[in-house]
Amino acid sequence: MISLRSPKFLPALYGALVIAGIETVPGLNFINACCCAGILFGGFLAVFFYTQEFKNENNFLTREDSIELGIWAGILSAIAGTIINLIILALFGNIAIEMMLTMIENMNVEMPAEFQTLIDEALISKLTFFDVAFGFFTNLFINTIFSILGALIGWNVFRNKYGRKTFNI
Amino acid sequence: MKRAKIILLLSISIWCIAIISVPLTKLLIGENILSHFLTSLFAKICHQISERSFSIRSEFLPVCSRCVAIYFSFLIGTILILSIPKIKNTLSLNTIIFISFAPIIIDVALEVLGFHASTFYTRVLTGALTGVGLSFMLSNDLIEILENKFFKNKEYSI
Repeated sequence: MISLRSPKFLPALYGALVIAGIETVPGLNFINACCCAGILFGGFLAVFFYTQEFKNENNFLTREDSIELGIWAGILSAIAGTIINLIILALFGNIAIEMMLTMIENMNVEMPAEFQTLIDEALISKLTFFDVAFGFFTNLFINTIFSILGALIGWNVFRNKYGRKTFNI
Repeated sequence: MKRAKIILLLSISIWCIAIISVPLTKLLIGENILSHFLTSLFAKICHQISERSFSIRSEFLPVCSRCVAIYFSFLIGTILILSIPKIKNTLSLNTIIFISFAPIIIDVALEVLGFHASTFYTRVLTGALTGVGLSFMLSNDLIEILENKFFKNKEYSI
């Protein structure tokens, strides 16, 4: 388990904030449209930040550390993402959809009529508790899975420099 | 180890089947809760622009062609590694990382910067390279994690 005093907490939090920022800030969230790149990047960053705190050879990275960092980055990002999303919605309304519309128009992509209807409905619809809960739990599921994968990529990248193998007995 | 391999393969297969099930269930029974739920879920991780997505009889998959290429090639890569374990030793880690990320980053960057428009083929090709590369990089780790977490009693690290 990770605690507030754990050396893994801050790196996981930084990774989580990067994920949440990429996920929720309109414009930046198009990074995630590239197959979860933002979430993978956040998990990777959590491992990177963790290795930056190593001061001597007694500090080393294990695969289990990376997984733990990935799990916590995923969980914290779902919480932070939901909060940031609510704040942005309260302050600016649903500008993400408007930005997406502008981008699609710039790409000269023809939208099916039903898609246009869905967007119009989304623009005028109001946020319910169910929407928030659904968003949180789907983020929790997706972010945790992909953040672990990002952290494992981080493990593979940094294991030669900071890694220590674990042995099963 | 065998059980862990089966669980990993099952998990990736379920993910891929979930992608295909959206258009298939729509074709079979029309709009339904499952397809609606899965479309909302995949909307978190993909733009879902129909012009950039595969379709089955004009019903679009809930993720774009690049994502489909990544997930399905990850599955194929994992099957390859599990059936021919020596194949992983043919490439160094740095080569795998380069193959995984360089083509997709270059393709996306060139498009964003306006130097070339990515095509269906470049998206599928770069996505497939990423998926296979990631499977080479991660599948052994994932199998060992599953094995340690669920099928071994204790683990000691030194």
